[in-house]
Amino acid sequence: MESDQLLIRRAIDGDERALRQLWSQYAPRIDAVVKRLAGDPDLAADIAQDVWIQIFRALKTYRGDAQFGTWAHRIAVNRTLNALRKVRRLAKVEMDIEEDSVSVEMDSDRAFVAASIEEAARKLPDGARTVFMLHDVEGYTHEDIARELGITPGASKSQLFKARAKLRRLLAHLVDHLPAPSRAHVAPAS
Amino acid sequence: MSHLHPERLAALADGEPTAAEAAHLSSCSSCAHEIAAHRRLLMLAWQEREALSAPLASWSTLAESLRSEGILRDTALSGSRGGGGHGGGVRSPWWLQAAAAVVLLVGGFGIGRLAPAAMGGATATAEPQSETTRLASNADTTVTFRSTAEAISVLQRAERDYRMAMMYLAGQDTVTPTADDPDIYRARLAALDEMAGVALSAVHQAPQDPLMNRYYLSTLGARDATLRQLGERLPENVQLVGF
Repeated sequence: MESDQLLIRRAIDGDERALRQLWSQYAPRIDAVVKRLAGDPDLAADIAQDVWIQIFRALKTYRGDAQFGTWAHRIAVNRTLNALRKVRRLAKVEMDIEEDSVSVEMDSDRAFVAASIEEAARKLPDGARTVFMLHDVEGYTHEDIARELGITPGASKSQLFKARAKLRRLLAHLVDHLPAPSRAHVAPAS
Repeated sequence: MSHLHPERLAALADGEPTAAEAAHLSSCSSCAHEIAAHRRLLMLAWQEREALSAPLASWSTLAESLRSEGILRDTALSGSRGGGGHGGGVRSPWWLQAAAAVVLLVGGFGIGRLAPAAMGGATATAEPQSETTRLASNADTTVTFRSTAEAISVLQRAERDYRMAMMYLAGQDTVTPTADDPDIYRARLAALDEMAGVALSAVHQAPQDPLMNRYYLSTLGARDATLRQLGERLPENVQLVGF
């Protein structure tokens, strides 16, 4: 298997095979991030194209300090948020929680759980959903989120806790039947 | 103390309670249950990070954009355009790309040993036995490649060298009919048709066999090329409509 470094060098030279191999290798994870953040599949597809162009355009600046996947993930998040900001004027993050519910049935299947979370997250206002995805899924700190979204860390926390409270209600049937995890099994706090 | 606020319970999923909250939680099963539920939710969310997605865009679409941006340059190895999404369509699998070279090399070694005997060129006929031995020796040599791309590159370079060698040998050949003789191409077409038929039968018996697929596809490619060559060498008043 060709190393990422060699692959990247060739990709910088515009070698289609190398570019495509990088895309093939990392698209499943990068596009998943875009999809989670965008929410809407059509919008996500538009953004993903732009994200990959940006990743390849920025290849020359990749210094290898972090894993390529981590570096590309950052670009994907940043580019997606920029795109969403344009579309939804995300800078104005406000909570406007609808008190509806998500119909979920008990199922241990992982795909079902993922779909349930995705569906429930779509019920959140865009800003709150983005904060939830960035913090609880992508592992960003509130400081990172604040920088990305142009809000304060306190506002990020507030949005997150409101989003969690809403999701907890929407996903009650799911989370009430799972075994309780220890503190060590949950995402690191920030 | 009354129950904790729902958003505070959400915060305590990964946060530290105050002393008063800790005291309350030790005696309030309802709030403790809520925090446990939030931790389960957090665990599910965290697991989502590892989730994968089917690519949201096709490579062909992305490649076009990269070309227009000047990020992707066309190379000899870049292959065809068009086609579909993840992992397919734009370029044939590597074994299809390598097919022509493989066939030419495999066939070439055989022909290479036989051709000089029919030719008058002194250079080409020199020490046929030792040449055969050398080729066999090379075949036994263990060669390692760092990547598929490198292996294909070597294969294509070998194919190019092979063609040049064949051109040289053809130039030395004073026995066989000249390359302008349409009969050469007619005979080749007939042979290729037979080869294609045999290869196709093998493909029908083992559709997943990449080796037989290579031979079949390469034979078809060689047939098309020969057909074009034949068409170019026919008299002007004769039009090739099929073979």
